[in-house]
Amino acid sequence: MLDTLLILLPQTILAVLACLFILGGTFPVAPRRWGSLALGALLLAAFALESVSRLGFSNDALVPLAVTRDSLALGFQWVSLVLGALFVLMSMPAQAESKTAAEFYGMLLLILSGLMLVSAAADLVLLFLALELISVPTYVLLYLGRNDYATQEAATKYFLLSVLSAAVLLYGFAFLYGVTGTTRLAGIHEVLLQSYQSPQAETPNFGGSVLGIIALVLISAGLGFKMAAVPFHFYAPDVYEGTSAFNAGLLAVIPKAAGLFALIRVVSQAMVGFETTGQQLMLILAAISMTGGNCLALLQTNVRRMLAYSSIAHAGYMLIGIAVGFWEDWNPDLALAGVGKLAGTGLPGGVNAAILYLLAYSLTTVGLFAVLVYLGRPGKQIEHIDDLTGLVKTHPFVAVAAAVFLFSMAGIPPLPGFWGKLAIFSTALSVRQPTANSLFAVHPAFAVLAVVGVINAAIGAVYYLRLISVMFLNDPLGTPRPSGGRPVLAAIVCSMILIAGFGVLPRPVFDYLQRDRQPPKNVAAKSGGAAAGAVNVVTASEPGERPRPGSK
Amino acid sequence: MAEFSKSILFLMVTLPAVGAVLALLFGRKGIEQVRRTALTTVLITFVLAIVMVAQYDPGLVDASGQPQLIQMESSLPWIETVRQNGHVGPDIQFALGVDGLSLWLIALSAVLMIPAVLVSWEAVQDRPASFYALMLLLESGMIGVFAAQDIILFYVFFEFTLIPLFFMIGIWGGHDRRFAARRFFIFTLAGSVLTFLALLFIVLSYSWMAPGQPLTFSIPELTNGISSLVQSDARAHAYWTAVSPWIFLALFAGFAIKVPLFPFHTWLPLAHVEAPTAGSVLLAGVLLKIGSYGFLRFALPLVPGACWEMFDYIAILAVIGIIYGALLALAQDDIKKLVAYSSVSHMGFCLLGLFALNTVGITGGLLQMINHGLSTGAFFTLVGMLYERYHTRDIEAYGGMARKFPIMAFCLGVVAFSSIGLPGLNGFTGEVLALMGMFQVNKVYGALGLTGIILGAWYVLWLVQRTFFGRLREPVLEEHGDHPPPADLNTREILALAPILLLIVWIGLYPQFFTRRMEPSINKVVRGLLSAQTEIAGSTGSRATRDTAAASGVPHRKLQTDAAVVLKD
Repeated sequence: MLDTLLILLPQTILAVLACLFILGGTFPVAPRRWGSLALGALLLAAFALESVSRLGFSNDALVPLAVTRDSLALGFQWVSLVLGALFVLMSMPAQAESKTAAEFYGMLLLILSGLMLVSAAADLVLLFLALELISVPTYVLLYLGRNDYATQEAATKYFLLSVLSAAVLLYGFAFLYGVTGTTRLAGIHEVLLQSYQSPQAETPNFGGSVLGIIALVLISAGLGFKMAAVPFHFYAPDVYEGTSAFNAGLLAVIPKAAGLFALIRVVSQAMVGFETTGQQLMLILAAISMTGGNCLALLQTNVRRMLAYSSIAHAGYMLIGIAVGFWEDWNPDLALAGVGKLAGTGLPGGVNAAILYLLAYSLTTVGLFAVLVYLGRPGKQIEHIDDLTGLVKTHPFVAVAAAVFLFSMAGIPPLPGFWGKLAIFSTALSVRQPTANSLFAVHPAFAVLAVVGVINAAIGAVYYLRLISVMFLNDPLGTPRPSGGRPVLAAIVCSMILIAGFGVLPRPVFDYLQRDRQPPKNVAAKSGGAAAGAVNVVTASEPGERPRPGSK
Repeated sequence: MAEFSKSILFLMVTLPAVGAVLALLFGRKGIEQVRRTALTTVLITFVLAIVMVAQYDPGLVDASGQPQLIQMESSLPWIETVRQNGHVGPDIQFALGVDGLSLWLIALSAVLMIPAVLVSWEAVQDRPASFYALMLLLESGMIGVFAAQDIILFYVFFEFTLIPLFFMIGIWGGHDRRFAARRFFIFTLAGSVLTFLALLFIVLSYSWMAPGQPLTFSIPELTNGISSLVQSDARAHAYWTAVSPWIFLALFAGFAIKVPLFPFHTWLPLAHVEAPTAGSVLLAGVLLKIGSYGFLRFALPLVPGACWEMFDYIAILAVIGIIYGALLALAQDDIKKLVAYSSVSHMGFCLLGLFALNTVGITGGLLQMINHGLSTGAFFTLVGMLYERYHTRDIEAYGGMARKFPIMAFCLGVVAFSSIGLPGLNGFTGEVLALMGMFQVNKVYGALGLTGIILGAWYVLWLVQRTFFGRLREPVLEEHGDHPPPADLNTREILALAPILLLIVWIGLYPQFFTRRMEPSINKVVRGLLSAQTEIAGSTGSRATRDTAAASGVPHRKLQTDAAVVLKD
């Protein structure tokens, strides 16, 4: 119990401070103060996280506690704080005059607390709560943004669909609970593993059972909504277009990160024995998300709408990693047979590749939306692509930053997007299967998926390049836009530094994910009961040596 | 000295990038500072290239008596993941090195930067700092592509070259520049993403075939490792034979678009015509070579079996490119377009030579890559100079220019004769070797390729005749007031062309100086090809020998000795 509270210290600090913010909104405080206070709150949470991580981290995600502290969660929480700080910087000029600044930052801190909680949750109930802790304040933020019909439509649409998806997700969790009889991820893993290895009359192979498949499908659908994967993406373009650039950026990053992480925790790490169904499901979701998102983005003329479709496509790339994850070496049966598991390449496996991609995507997206916030004005945002015309002449630095972000999204080396694609595609190509007359062969489905993926990368480049060419190759129309405040510029500069650092020296990120990679589990030890898989806490290395993704 | 020669390639890659930053910093001080920075950087890199060529010793052997083809190697760890939990991490290195295949291409990149900078001297007045910075970044990328000894590094440079050129075409280009720049970028990217998959797949396949090895991305290690494994291990052999065609096709997608081979050439004329002169020079002179170099570096050594299988298709596409490009060039009335289509035709010769898959042909193909870089680079430089004087590229508008501009006419004459392959100039050596190689394996393709030379002579000489001889006809100049009347080449322009003209004559008179340094590396590639061919002949009823030895009536081994004799002559 004490462990649990200690691990959740940063999240608790953020949530408590968020409540204080909301209460403090009733007092006469200058609105511009709240932004700085929010940064201070994040700093405090960072200190808490630092001290928590000094306690050591577990190498195993599947702990019998309700919360986990594996290195993946720690890294993800650091990234959440960095992203949160960037979002606070982005919003400061707009909130400096706002009457609802305190509420705004309170909600933002709650969302970040929820995001950090998602990575720590090792229990279905806590995971669901964490996801709701992200969703509910998001509804408020969407309403706080602007007061016109488009905003209200966007907020209502997001609210209704989000509630529906939460219900679907919860239904899926309920089935999973029904199958396994526990809500702890470690317990679920245990039960499913046993049923998978020795299906008996009382514990049939749940992975192949109808109930198990229903659970998998419902969970994927619920989280697919958060990630905006096709066919659960319908809200994204409308909502992004209808809301402010800041809110769109928030929606493009935080629910997607939370959805992907929850998917990794539940589907990739806990649900064993679903490789046939799960892999097919993810393969199809990945392929249609990439293709659908990219092709529809080609047709768009509204910048936020285009980026909405682009974010849908990026969800598809991440799902490739999840699909590969079904073949990774935690999959004990296949590992024992010596087939199916990834070659010991040392490259990030499927799940880690997805996380690497998510990191690259998040940093780039935050930067890009910061550019849109910087160029926008409360009454007059960047709407049409042509609003960016000739940006290089009016705002040279911002234009160069935007080009770097867009090239990174298109996956041009040496930028983070390229390393993300490198990880994703190499992991997809490393899934292999045995054949009669040869050593092995590439798994045909994954090879096809990799080809679909790279072709999509080329399609994506078309519309990213369209934005770049509008900014660089055309002369500006009319008067230059006013610039949008120093804090936003600071957010752009910070993302630029992170992007450039990650792009040129990606090694710390690769190393960090590598460290999280587990050796093939000893199946015999695993089946000895939950205690055998108990917290395997190892002492963390020296603080200076610990690479923080993206912080170099 | 040994230390210096290790770092020379690293310097050649980083120096232009540093120059680019300096050019941007000097941007506020005025155009003069920027131009001088750019020229100094380019000249220093050029000197380094000369040192590199002087240092390269084709006969060098290492401690164990093996020939050491890759020299001046240097490497820095890039992504060298920690080894733990029994997993061996990937080992991506910032590894540079030069061998006989890349030596002259690196030198070519360094040489062609000189005219590229000098020809932009007056022509680029709008935002010069950005222009020169992009051009210098492009130089870093070009030298990096050829010097990279790591697959990921190669790909990083390969894609990176797109960015500076995209902006060079898109911002400083002609009327239709935006469309041209986007099309250039997308076409190249669309192919190269598939190449990326193939490169990744080669790396992964090697780690499967040789379990327990660290995941290497080093190009020489992969090349040597795969070819020896395929010969020694039956299962690896079966596997590699099964996947080779797919790897070849995926490599082909990127490299064929870059070259460009016949049906994929449609981006090229547009990009060439719209690009500023410096962009055209570098695009035609160096960037197209990345495609053919990719075939030579990856396809031929790594998947030799697939090369034999695909021989006919590539040769047919190359021949179509040669003839079709030449015919299109004949029909153009814009000088730049004519030169652009002639590039399609000439790059066909390169591939025809490379895919003769014997020593003579590959030597010819590689030499032709250098020759085409020089002659087309010079051609575009001259066209740019003419355009700067009259602001039109319409062939009809010109006539009898030789009387007005004798020096320019002389230069154009040399370049034209080099381009059509007059004996004594560089074009002759390359084309003859390439075609000779092809004649040894297949007479039909050789003969068809030969018609390309005749057509080439036709369109080039016709162009020279129409514009520089006959009655004097000047384009009407719009009066801008203070412009001086068009004059002959000034010193700057002569200096821009001088290094190219020198090399044109040098290669023409003494090609051995160049081929001798290529030979050991090419022989190594050919050895791999030959053993693959013997296997194919043994296993599938001599399909490949039908194409090669049967066509010429002599055993292939004999051909190789002939090839050596030809080179010695």
